[in-house]
Amino acid sequence: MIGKRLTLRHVQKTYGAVWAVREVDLEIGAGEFVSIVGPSGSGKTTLLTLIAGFETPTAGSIIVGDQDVTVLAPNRRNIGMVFQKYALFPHMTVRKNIEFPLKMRGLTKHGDTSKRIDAMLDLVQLGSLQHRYPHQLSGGQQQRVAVARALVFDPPVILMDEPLGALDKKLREAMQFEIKRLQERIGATVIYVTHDQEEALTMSDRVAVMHKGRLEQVGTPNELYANPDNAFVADFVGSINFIPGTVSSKDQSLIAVKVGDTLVKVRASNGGSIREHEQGSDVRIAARPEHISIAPHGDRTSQSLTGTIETVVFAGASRTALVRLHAPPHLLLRADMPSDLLSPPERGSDVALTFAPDALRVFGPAERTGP
Amino acid sequence: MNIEPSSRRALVTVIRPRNASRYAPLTSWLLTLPLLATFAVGFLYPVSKLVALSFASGSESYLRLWGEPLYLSVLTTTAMTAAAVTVFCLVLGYPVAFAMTRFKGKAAIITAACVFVPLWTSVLIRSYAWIVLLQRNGIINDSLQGAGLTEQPLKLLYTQGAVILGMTHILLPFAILPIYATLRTLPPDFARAAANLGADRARTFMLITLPLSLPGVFAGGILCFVLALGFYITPALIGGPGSMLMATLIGQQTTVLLDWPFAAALSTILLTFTLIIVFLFRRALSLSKGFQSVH
Repeated sequence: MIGKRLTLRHVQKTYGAVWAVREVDLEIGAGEFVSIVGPSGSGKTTLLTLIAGFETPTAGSIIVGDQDVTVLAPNRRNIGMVFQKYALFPHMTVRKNIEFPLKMRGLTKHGDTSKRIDAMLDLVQLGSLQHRYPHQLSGGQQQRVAVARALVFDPPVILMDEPLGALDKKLREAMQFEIKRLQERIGATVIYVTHDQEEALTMSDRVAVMHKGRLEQVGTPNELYANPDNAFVADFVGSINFIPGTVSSKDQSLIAVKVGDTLVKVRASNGGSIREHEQGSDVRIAARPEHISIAPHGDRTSQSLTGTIETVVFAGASRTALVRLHAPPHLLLRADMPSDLLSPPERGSDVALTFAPDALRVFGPAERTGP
Repeated sequence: MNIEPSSRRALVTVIRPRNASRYAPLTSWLLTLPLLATFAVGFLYPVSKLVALSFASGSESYLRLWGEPLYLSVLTTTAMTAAAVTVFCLVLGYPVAFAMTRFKGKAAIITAACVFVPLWTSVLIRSYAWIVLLQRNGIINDSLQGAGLTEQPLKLLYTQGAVILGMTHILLPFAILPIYATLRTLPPDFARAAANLGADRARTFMLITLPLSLPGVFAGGILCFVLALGFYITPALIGGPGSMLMATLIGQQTTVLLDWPFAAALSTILLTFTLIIVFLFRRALSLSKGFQSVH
């Protein structure tokens, strides 16, 4: 295990009056695989730039293992990095590219350096292409060279900046497993930046959701999916429906939210902020598509919302229905249809939607943007 | 009208492009025609006349050129001067180009002005400016004597050194601009990757930035060299009799001695030499591997 702990303490970065990173605190364990996800412009790449040392934080400190590296020059940090566009040196062969970090450390005089490069080439299955130049390789092969170059000097921490962004879907999925396999084998601490939440959920031990320069929530993929702290995280991680309503009553166990003429019940223990919502306040119910069940219109109860199926989307194992609610403001909801349904409701038919109180969450009303 | 579908398709591909980002072949030809016509009338025709003229009395002009050591030494001096000017332009120009990619705001504007304003000033004026600076009682000699460094005024003007200095000054932008253009297109990720992999600034520059900017260095170098080979005004004004260059010699033959066939032979030699140099440079560039992916 070569991985080291990485600690970010109150890290901030401003460009003039613009905040890029605000008060980020994050503790990443040795050998842990942590993804930072967020929409573009959320500050995730800036955060990576600060850890790599290409820029210095305005405030706060960055600690690798026991060493404070906040102001250390990037070439002395011993942190590996895979760039979004790989940044392979175009005038050097694959082998020379991989040799570069070893050469910089004065290791090429040792006899076993050559063996080390060979081993790395084998690991990423590029032995036969070692004398090619980067432009003679496919995107996936270039990606593997970039990974090999970042791993060959055994860095305790490896940064990856959307390393699979330039690859097509199929190759991306194959590479996800390959990167994960390499990381587990080597035991390095990995910080993986991506805007693809699905990729983050598949690969990571923990995921940090970043928004407007802040960390909104850090947790295991399961925690983020099942217990999002706020509406942003709920929306960003996985697919979710937001249904606006007003709190009509609440007791120790259940909160009833009035949506149109229907009362939707939510387990009161689901989430912290929920308790603060007083009777009559505007809220949003958050429901994942798999937590909405579709029943024929005739089976509706006082607790179900009714709507019309607009489209049925085929998504491999399951089908997702887009249902237009009858109650104003006629929202479009995504609901998964069970695949074993004997007579699945068709487009244009009216259906009743029911919700499992335990799986629902309630958040505050949407922030108004613009005038 | 009744046109076969296949021939109509062929006609359409000539007139209309297959690819929206390109012109159809016919359109491209039409667009380049004015330039090609000008080129043929204004360049190809006179040059071929010139080459023909040089052979007007057989190979006599060439034999004379070959037999007279003076002419050969002028050719060597020209090549050496051009080479020296090129080296100075590249050595002095590279740091300026590098700085231009780093500067922002006011510093960038000032540097760009320092590069461009001389370029927009007449070569004649800049050559005369060097006369003012370098003459016996010019600023440089005055200050040297004033500082007590020299007793007698130095002979600075009408020397080979003055010619190289003046030409370097005039050709410097032609070295700076291609290098700057190349450095600017280099993604900053290369230097960052080098730093991340453990290279300090010096090694990042020597191993990554410099090699990757070589196409610009070559382009600037060949531009300077070719322009220097044919330089006329500056050597004529600030050069001495000992530093005669090909262009001055050709000028002398045409305007003073009126020996047109011999002048034509000299021009043909200079043209051939220039073409060989350009060809060799291009060869050297295409052989350096890995650059295809950069540009």
